[in-house]
Amino acid sequence: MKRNVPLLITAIVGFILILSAFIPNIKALSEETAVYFDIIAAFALVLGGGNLLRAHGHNVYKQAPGWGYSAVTVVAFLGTLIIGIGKVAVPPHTGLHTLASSGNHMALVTLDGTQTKRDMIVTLRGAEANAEAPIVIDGTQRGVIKTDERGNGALTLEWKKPAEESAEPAENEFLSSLNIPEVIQRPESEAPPPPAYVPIKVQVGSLTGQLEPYGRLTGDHIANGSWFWYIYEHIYKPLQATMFAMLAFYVASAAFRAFRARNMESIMLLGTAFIILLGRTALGAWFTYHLPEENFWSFFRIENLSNWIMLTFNTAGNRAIMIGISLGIAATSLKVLLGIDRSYLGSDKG
Amino acid sequence: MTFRKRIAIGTALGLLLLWPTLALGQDEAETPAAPAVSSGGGKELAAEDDIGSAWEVCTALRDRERVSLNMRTARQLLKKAGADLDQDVWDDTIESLERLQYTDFDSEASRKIALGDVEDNLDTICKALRSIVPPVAAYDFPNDDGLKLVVAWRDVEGADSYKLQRRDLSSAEPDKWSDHAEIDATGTGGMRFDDDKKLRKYHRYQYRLIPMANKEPFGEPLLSNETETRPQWFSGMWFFIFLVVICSAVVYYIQQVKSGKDIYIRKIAGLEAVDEAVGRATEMGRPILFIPGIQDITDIQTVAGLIILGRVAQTAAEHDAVLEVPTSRSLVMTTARETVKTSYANAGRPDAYDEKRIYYTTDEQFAYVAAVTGVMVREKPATCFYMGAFYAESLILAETANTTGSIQIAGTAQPAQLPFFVAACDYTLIGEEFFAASAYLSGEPHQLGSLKGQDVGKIIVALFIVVGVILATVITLFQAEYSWFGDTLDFIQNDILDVAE
Repeated sequence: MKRNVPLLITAIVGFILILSAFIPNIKALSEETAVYFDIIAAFALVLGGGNLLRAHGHNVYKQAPGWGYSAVTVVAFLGTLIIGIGKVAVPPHTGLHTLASSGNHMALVTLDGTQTKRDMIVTLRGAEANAEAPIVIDGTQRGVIKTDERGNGALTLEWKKPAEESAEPAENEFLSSLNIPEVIQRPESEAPPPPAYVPIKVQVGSLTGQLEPYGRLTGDHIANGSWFWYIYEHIYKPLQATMFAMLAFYVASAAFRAFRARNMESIMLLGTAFIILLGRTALGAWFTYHLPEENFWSFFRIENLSNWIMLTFNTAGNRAIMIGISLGIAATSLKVLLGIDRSYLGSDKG
Repeated sequence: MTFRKRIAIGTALGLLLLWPTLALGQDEAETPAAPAVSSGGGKELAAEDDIGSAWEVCTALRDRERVSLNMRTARQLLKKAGADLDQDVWDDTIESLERLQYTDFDSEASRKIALGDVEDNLDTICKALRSIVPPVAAYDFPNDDGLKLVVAWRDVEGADSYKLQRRDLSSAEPDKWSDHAEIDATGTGGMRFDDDKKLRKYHRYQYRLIPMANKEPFGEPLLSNETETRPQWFSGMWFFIFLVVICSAVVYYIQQVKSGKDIYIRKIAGLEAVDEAVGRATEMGRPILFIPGIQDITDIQTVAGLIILGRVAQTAAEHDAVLEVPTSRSLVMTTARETVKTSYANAGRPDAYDEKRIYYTTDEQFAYVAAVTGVMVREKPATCFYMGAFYAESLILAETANTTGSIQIAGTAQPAQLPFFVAACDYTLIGEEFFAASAYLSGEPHQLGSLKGQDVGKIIVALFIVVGVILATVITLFQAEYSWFGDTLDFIQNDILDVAE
């Protein structure tokens, strides 16, 4: 039972995904099936995180050799988790919103507060079917939502004050009317402090509400200026770049060890690598620049020779490997789907 | 089965797959020259499939895609409508195409003139096709899940844009037209709109096209035919055939080997060295480090790596060596634990299994590499296995282990990483050797049979390569792109192999 159920799930899901490649009508089913993995992976993430904390916490507790590294891991893990989930120092989403409701009947009004977008989006749910609901802002009707057979509807309005419909709105018209608390002020910012916010009344059909600024936790956790953003930009990215940069030195040391002229094959490898390397540099091109560009001898210009080797030999070898890999994948997948090979499940019978 | 029999079976299968291409050269349109009929002199096509084909062919010809095949289809449709063009038009088109393809132009201006000739000729064919289809046509999008329709129409002179309205004839309000799209005119003679918004399967729809000029309605609205969204139940015939052939071969040879047939598998140095590598770890008293790649369990390379992990774990348990498996994904950690636990139990050493040796580090690529290289530097493993999907971190891992004096065995199906592993590791399993490792290490007959089945696939691929190379060479040498050779190569590339441009 412990092995048969996973095998059955593997076979069923695998064959659904294979069939969906040939039956366009069930493509949606395969996409839904693939979502199950995302759900399981979300649970597994908790499992992995918990295991990480347990293992390193144990090392710290027991002061096992290398426990300092474990302490750094635990502190970094928990610190980033708390800062990210708690949205520490995250500016709230700029804009206004209100949610007016009465039972299942609800209206959501959002007004994006950025300078480039001035749309007010009004969404209505559970209203009278096939009816019209006027949208009134500060006593002025600005639009009408037409509901469908389910009583739902939506409308996007361009925000303009009635008296200034013919004029371009001021650049900071929204922001100047918002009173956004706890905004991180950039040192170079010279904007004057915003004036006090005057609430805007909105009526959608029979529902009324008042546009309010967004709360503190509505902002994006990776918004510029937040602590999570700071950790990513100034700690994680430099560390990642450091590790990646080490590759250059590792390539040099690996090449030094590998490219030795021991036999004919290694001589050919060395020679080819030499040509390719030179062909990718300006210095290499300088060695053969005196060769003409457009006749038989142009083939021996180092950059052309390098390209030719990459396009013919390298591509051919690459494709040969890919063909073998594809067949290997097909055979391995078939063995897994049919349950012929069950080692990955921990089965003692392959 | 002898080698000759294998070749014979593979060749027979290959020919079976290739015979349609050999029959393709027979031009279905080889009829006596039709009497000259000017375009627009025939009746309109009635069948929705034909109308759809006409528009698809017109679009393909305008983009100069698969010209030879589409010209043939265009001619068949024109003949069906009794509106075939003069033979001279078809001959001129082929000549202009060959002139554009094979002439060594001495100037860009000459090339543009030749290109202009080609476009004029293809435009003539497109105009003829548009004259045999309704002014506005709607048809089901081919090979889809039934949630897309195509609307195509002839340009209306004077219109700079079009408003498209749609009604659902299968809904509760079949007479209700709703505004659907506004499209700017392109002036190419015909236009096409792919509609995938809020369609329902098996519903009948109709479109109304309103030509507009300066955002005002212009001229009479044009009604399309009624069409139905139809999901297709099968597509990809050739791919399906290949899949069935290869899978059948795998299953066949598994059965053959199970029934006692002996097969030859060549030696793979990296896999022969696994026992030696594990023994080295035991003698030196240092651990074995197994890295199953940085991808999740959904990647077949990770699954293959975990299968190898099972074999390595069993050997390690038998040799009383310590095995450590840092993973980059939580699910891989869970699976690896189960695999190793069972392997230890199979080796009779369940007490030696230590769950803490198989642990999750992080999902981030370079953070994982930093953690693993830290383990290498501190614990100095005697043996390192890299079996799975790797990216840029492959060389960092291999070089770090090299500095600590480990013996390294790598296997991956990432072609870009293979050179790094070959340069830095003692043994490397290249491509399909990695996928064959499980069968090789187990030695189980039914697993070895699958390796034989893969060989049938290789024979088929080799046959296609040979045929394709011969055709491509003939086409290049004899400038025969628009002949039977070109048609055959086009069929192999686009219909059988479905090579995307």
